[in-house]
Amino acid sequence: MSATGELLVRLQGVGKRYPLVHRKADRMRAMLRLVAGRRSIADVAVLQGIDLEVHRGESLGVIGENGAGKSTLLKVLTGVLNASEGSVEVRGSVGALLELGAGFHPEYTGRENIATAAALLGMGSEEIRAKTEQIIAWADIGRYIDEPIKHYSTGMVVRLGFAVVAARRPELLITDEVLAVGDESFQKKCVRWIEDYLGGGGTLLLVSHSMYHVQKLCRHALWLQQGRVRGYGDVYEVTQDYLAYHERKTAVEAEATPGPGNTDGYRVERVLLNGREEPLPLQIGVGRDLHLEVELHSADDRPPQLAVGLLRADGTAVYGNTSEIAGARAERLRPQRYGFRIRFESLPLLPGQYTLKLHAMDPEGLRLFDTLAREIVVRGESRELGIVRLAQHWQ
Amino acid sequence: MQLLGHFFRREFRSRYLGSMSGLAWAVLHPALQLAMYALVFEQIFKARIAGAEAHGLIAYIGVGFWAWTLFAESAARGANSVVDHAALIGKVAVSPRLLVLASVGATAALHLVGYAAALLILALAGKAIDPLGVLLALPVLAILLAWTLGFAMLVAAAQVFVRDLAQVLTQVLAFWFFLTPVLYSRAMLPPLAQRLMDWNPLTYYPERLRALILESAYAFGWPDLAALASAIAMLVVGSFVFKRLQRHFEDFL
Repeated sequence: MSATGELLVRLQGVGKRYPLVHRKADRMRAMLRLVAGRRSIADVAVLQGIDLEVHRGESLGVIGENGAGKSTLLKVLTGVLNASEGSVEVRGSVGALLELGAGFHPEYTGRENIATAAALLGMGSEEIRAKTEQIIAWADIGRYIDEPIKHYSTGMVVRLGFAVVAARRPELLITDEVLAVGDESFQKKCVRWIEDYLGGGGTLLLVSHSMYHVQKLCRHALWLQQGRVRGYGDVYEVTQDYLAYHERKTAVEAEATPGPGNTDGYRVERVLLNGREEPLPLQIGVGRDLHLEVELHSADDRPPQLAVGLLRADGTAVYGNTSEIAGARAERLRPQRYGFRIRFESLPLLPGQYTLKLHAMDPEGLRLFDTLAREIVVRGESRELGIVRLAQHWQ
Repeated sequence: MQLLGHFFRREFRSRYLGSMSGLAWAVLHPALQLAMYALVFEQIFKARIAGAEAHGLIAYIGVGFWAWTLFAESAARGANSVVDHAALIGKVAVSPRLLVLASVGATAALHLVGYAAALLILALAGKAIDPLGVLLALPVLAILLAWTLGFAMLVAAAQVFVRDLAQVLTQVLAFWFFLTPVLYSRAMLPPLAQRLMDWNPLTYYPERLRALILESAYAFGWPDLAALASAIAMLVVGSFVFKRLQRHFEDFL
């Protein structure tokens, strides 16, 4: 965690539990227990052991699956919810856009709700009066401003909410997936505003399912899974791990169990990736070289063929080739042992997780005998889309 | 503080100022109610209340009635304030205590305006309203407000957990009204019931207000101290229960 600015947020061992209330009697029991100063009834943890520090000027994206505890974390941070355990310290003015239309009263008009929302953000009545017109202009919802909020579309509610926060310019901005609701031009307007806000030294905590927005706006990312921190660090690394996790998850759901490899005849004996033999994921930078050294076992001592396949973590084929197609012949290292060396120069893979599959084949290149897989993690900062970087020239 | 003011104004506006021509309604409402009591009790029932003859039935009832309304309405509104603002709690950082305070405050303020208007109307109608007594009634009303606030906090917190309480409270308040000497005087009851009335914390208010405003009986004594102690106790209990429970509102709303 960078220590660039003053500490705005510090969470230590924060957890949040919700009571399990199935029957009316449980509620009564919970109340009596709480008044007596005892613990509430049986509960379920939605956040556990969260440690987090956010410094001034930082931008942190919070990512994770549905129900991972992202919104709960932001609510605990803003004091909307009380942490069940641990300590929460937040300094400076906080502007939060948590839930759609939170704090707005459906019966009141947009104008009246601006006053309430601004007061909730801690603005004085003088300031509210002075800024109301500016807020209305920013929200840009035309004559609807004097209609009750209940007649608004979701997009208009978000516009209004964002406009109030934008006028407030808090020291710490906390938004929860609000950008997703607005239309294209409003999203752009918000992103521009946030970039300007960050440029001016603002601090951002953003929950989003859009990795595009997270990567665009945040320098760091926090990955929550089942209420715990699964990853924290550089936004590109964390989001790439997160996307890879999803790709693997989809692949596991889609793919049946892989066919058993026949280990008689020919098999992959060992493989070195960039000189390393340990079966750990290989970390490699974008555009770096990848060296493969493969040793194959051949039961009848005839030279086997090798097939190499590169897949994205979700199983999408990226590239495949065989020694037969490439016209390469195995080098005989010793009896029954053959070797191949392959060099991928400046590997053009975009950041993400990939699987390298090596298959031992018979000398005719017809039958596949054995499979060995290794993980490759390509690291780097890139917002390019897709799998490979195509050579290109921009003019 | 800023926020309390905002909620107070919003609540106040939403109650009356929004519906008809503002303050006029706050004056008209009690006047109509007084007229209704005049019709029902004086003309239809030809009711006689012991001790009320000197002042006229309307003045007798009116002086006590507003104290009751102030309590009952503020308590009912305050009790609902947390549940009514469920959309805020759990979504926006707002102290729930503030919601009860704003709700009770706004309702009480409204009824104080109504009370003042009612007393003015009675005075204009030639009833003997003692101005000094009215002034001395202010601390009594302040004690009533404290009692009401404590009660509202207690019920508001409990209602988050036990939702049926709203219905129960309506019934209890209706029953309580007849256990409180607003429409009658204690002197009309058998001796045992007269003593039992002391255990109703709200008995004090209509009796004390009538004594001050209509009879110019200024002497303070044990009942006043008991009422003060009762109000402080209620406020302490209400605050304590509210404080214990408010962290958990979000989980049960």
